[in-house]
Amino acid sequence: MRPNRRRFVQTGAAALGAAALPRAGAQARRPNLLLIVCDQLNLDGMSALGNPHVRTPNLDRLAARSTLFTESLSPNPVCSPARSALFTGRMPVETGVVTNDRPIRAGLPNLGEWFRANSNYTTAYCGKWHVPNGIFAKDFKGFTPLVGGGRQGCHDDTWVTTASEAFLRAQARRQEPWLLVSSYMQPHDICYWMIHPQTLVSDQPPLANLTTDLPALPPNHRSRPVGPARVGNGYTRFTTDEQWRYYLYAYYRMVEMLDQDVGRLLDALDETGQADNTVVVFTSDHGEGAGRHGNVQKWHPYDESLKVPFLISWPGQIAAGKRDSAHLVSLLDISSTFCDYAGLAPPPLARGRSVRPLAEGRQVEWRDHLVCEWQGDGRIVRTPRHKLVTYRGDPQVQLFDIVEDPWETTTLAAEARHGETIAAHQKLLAEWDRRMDVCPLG
Amino acid sequence: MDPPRASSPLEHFSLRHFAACFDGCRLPAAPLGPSWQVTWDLWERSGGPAKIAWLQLACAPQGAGRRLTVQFRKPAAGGALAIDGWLESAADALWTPQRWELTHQALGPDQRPLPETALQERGELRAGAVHWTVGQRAQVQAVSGPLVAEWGLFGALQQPALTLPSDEFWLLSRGGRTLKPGHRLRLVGQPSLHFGGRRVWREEERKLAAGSVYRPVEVVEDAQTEAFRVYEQLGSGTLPTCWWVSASGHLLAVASGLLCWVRRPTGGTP
Repeated sequence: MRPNRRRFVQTGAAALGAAALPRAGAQARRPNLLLIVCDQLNLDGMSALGNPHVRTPNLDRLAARSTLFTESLSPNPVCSPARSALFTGRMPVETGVVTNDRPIRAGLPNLGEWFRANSNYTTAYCGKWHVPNGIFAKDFKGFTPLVGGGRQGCHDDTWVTTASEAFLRAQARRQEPWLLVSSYMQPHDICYWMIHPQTLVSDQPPLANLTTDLPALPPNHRSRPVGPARVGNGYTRFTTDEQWRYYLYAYYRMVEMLDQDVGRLLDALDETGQADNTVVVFTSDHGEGAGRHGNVQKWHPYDESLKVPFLISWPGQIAAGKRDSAHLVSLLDISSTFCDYAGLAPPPLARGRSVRPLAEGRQVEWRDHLVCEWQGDGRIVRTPRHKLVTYRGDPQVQLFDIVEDPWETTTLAAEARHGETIAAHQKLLAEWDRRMDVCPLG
Repeated sequence: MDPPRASSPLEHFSLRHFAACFDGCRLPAAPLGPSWQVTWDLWERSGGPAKIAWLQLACAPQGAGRRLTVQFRKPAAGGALAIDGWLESAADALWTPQRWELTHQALGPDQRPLPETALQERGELRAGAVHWTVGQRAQVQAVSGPLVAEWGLFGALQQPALTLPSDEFWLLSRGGRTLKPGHRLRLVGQPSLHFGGRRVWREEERKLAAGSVYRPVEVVEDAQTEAFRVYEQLGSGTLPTCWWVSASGHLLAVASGLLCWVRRPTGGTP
């Protein structure tokens, strides 16, 4: 299917207008909003999506009560840029957070500031922030920071849960609706396996008793499709397959740690009697290389880095146990979605759309493409069938048929018959770029 | 025949990431009695070694079993986090937890409890199920095998003559609150380890024809050599973990991924 700009513009504008209208029942108590965001979790990093190497009963429990979007993309698969987009609804080139540790452009309200200025929601935040300045801001606008969190998910995430539980219990005694962000580090700890490979990964499986438990390598582990030079930047290779498999083993244990914290959080929501009146969104800032294309960590434009879980639940209101693979959604959409449930217009120029109609099973025209950023000047254009990967100044591009080649092993860019598809995607990208209110970088 | 060579922490996969954390570390010569109190510091190595928390356990006999009094502190953004309470365990090999009560609390920058942050957790193992009350909520969770408390292992593995059961067990994670199935623990080695001591600068003499010259060199004094039992723990939701227990029954270190608990020298105060 060829992308259709006109359809996108019409439906995008309609969505902005609709969300700005007061909704029926605006005076009724609005639902609470719980955003659980983790760090570096693959879309398929949970057993509910068939991954045999990990056991995630709590994420599976959440999936069973949620609509789960499987075509969900990070706007830029790196921590700070992705988080800036998540909390403002604007692309990283607009927030100015195009790499880690940059502050959000002055004047752009984050989700908490927007809610505090326009609603009676109590807003609180616990755990990793990373925009702006520092991973754990102790005082930032828009949210009351809760005591908890730390640099290592393996030990510190449990305190994010403890603090979030305390918040939930306290709020259960109050009337005002609340917006809570519980932001976990895991499974981001796996980054340190590459920072310290000489001490954390042995030449051989370090523990003899592990060998039968090590996950198999992914089918595209050795794929290296030709593309922009920067695509190869993320390649890091261990010496042996066993090292790779041990790396995967450790990654999935970290996912299980996250799962246990999510379970406690869900229990607390149930325990305090607030589950029925709380919209829960679970996502990750970006994915993890997990050995696919020989990659670790993020930064790269492949789906292992780009696609993230996006679950949304509200008992009795949102379809439970539903998988939505028909709609392209983004972390950009979370801000608009929460505004929608709170009866607020989204912040000005928000690029995302509320997924509420999709989650509630209503027919709505939806976008037919998304653009993501990678490594500064890299861009990815996703349409339902194809994915174009470009890097400014580099004539080499990649084109993948995501339907036929979901593991992205073969780029079609060199085949003349795909020239028209590439041109159509490049045209979409040019139009997208023209709409961006790019933040000048100091 | 020469005795087995003592190795350094750098030579062992589970310890080499934390070799610097053993500086100043020293185990007492005498074995633990039935009542004891020990503190472990939690080191993390995402960058340079840093102490991020401590755990103090005090053990006392109680009936046929033991009672562990727990005190845990962890600085966090904007304050600190605390767990205080106790666990009562059976007298079996891995100190099966019978009852426990732990209070989780956030502390402000002045170390005073923050309002509305205390959470009390009470648990009991009864008829193959954990009966739990967390806050106002009571729940029952069946466990299909033995139950072991992570903090109970800090005591159980210090028993001098320990025969490990081979069964898989459920792990009550530190601070309770979560149960992890499919855990295994086995003895994987009994190396002799040369560790600890103090790093000091000494002048080293070098004799030349025209006289001596001296240069400063860093040396380790008072390092200790001990035989150890090394136990390896594998299971869900946990990175491979190695427990290092001296032959005389002192738990020196518990290493797992980025984290390592290291025993604080006797007399150290939290």
